[in-house]
Amino acid sequence: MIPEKGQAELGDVVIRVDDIAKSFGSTEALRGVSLTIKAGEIHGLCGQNGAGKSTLVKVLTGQVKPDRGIVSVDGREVDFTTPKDAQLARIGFVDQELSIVPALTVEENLALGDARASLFVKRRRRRKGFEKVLARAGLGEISMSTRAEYLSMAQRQLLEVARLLDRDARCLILDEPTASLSGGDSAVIFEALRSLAVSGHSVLYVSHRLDEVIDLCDRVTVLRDGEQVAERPVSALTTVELARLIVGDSGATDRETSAAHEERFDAMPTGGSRDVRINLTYTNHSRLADFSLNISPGEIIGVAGQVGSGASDTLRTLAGLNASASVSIELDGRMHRITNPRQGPRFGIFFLSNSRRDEGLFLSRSISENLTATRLGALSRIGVVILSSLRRCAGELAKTVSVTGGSSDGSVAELSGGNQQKVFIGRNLGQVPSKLLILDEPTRGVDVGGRAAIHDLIRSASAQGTAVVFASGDEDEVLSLADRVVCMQDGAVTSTRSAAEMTSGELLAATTRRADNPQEDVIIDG
Amino acid sequence: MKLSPAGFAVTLGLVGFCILALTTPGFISSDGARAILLSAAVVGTLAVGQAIVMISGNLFSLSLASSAAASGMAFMASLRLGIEVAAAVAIAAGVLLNAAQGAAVGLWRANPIIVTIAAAGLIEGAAISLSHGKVLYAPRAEHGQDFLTSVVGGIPVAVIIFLAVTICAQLYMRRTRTGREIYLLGDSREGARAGGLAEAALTVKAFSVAGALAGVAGILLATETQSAQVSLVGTNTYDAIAAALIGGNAVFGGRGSPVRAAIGAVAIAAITDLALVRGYSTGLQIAVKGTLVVLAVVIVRLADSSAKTA
Repeated sequence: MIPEKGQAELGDVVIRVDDIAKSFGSTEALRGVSLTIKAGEIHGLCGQNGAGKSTLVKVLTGQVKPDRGIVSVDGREVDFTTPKDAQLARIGFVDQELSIVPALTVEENLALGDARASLFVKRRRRRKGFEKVLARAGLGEISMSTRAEYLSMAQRQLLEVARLLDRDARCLILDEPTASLSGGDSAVIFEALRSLAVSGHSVLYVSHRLDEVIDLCDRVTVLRDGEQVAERPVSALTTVELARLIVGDSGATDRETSAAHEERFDAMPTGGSRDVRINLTYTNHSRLADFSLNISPGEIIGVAGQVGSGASDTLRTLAGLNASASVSIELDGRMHRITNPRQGPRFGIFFLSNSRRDEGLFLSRSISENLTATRLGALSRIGVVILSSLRRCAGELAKTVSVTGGSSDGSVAELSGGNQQKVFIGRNLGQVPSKLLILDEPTRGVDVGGRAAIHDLIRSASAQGTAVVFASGDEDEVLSLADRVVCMQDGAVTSTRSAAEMTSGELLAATTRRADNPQEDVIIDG
Repeated sequence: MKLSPAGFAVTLGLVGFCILALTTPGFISSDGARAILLSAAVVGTLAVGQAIVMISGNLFSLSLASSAAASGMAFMASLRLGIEVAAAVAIAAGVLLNAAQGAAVGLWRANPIIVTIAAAGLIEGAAISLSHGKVLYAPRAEHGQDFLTSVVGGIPVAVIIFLAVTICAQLYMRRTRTGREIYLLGDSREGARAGGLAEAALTVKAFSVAGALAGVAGILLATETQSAQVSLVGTNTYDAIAAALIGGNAVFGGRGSPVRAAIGAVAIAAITDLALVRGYSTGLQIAVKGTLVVLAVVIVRLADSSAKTA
């Protein structure tokens, strides 16, 4: 049991959130969400990307102040101004990006970031405390002087939990703890969480893995578009029903009509173009399984998968960014081995990474420079750039993707996220000739209108015979845009189906089903 | 007219400088201007080289003046073959010595600070041993070196060379494909990589151009004193970095320009000269230089972060 400190009885509400709303600029991340977390319960939090889960977590951990609404702990209203306040209110958070420092020992990691720490550390007293929390977190066997780099991912997760317990955390929030773990490792985490719940702690378990949520949690709250759409006891839910609650009934909003689909395929240049054949083989140490795919010219393949499924990694490997893979791509009957990212463009293969800030845009440069960044060769003669061609090219591309806000010479950093993404896309589309477009999250951060526009651009590229492979964590987008869907989980392809035959709910279920927990093949209407 | 904080600070500085200059008898004169430009020529040329290294995102080269000194020595040693040959040898030496460093940084992702510190040591050591520790003097016969110290149209040839290389470097960086790609590389290495730009080749080119500029600086250094030895390195490496920074280049790559570096060198020369004429001690002059560098770096950083949204 949790010692002293005036604790809640099992079943009492420990944290209550009432009508929380938060907007970032014009984006309403949360629109009045209410939630309760009880002592001794494991409470699941589910929702698609953009549903508001991480914003809610940020509110609970003091990283973000809500625009409206009340957070109460033990019945008393609290106002967190910094994460330290949340820590002192005994709320602990384990982020997906672990904050374990590999080079430090277990003991040192446990001591990191303690809000109550004084200038000098009292070693011996803390050691006793550490031993206790390590045991409670299921790491009793680990020596405190072990360097964290020798711990497995699961053990590192638990080390973070131990650290929180040392800070007297009573409510633990875990964000996608099993995203990069395999089945066996996950079991270790579950055991630790269950025993913590029994001893009176609360857990808020944020996860895309519906099977796990149903398995582990007592209640689950589903967020959709910033609103709470359900709070149910897990005993009343199946994975399929949970999936349906998460995606809602809207389904794929921007699907091509069958007429448009026909038109697109009719428009494709005929004769000569052969399938694009892709073969990826990985070295032994890779989490990813070997991957093969044949794409017809103009076909759009959607690779669907949650975080850690390998979808994004597969695309990066295709682009030549993965040194530990052997990549062969056959275009028009000719085989190409891709070993670095410079080769693709020479053969008409273009890649868009999922991180435009870190790996895509050149933020201090202008819009027109960004649009033409990868084709300066074509715009120069004897090494000298022809400014008029550059301007013309930039202008055409800007118009094609309809970037709004800012002149061509304006800085790209000042554009909205959606417009930045359009600039990023504009760089890759309109590359002629292009045989294969590899797009990782092509509409990340783009609003609905912009999304539709980008989808149209992708379709028109496909109408010219370009094969497209894209990855997206948004089920609706995958089904709207793709002709064929490849589902991935845990680094391997789990199924390949025609998009027309699937619903969003089925797709979500297909990418979140645990391999060792096969369920009946589910057919859902609508 | 609205001024950003950066613009405000610079304007304030200019106004302060003008007031001091106008109240110092004898400072404003064409002789004075010529002297300032002349004293800025060597550091300015090196500063342009540093600017190119900075723009490419590779921080700066701590061996640039060492390779300049080596080029100067090569120049002196080959003067008897004619000035054109000697100049070519000096510049080629600069290019080779720095291309090698660029290769280490670009191909093997070695840290540029470490590589260039090591290179500085190696270059200076080799130079001393090859010259047997002796000073290299210009041959008594005239092979064209006098031209370099002469004055054309009232402007010292050294200054003309400094201005010419600055303009060439500026055009190279802004108008050629390589130059523009170097800016992109400096802005985002990962973006350049994912976009298929040739990171390693661009790095080597950036260092090579800096090396060529160091070669030119070496020639100017050697002809100043009609002799060349390793001590020519002096504090030139750091002065060049300071000049590039004061002119408004950023250490973190992707922005700035050769012209800014040249302006920085001229600014330092002007301020140093002013301090000299007003009788300030050497210590104070150095302190002023240091303060300017800090201010310039802070201003550039502030201007940059206000431009970038979160």
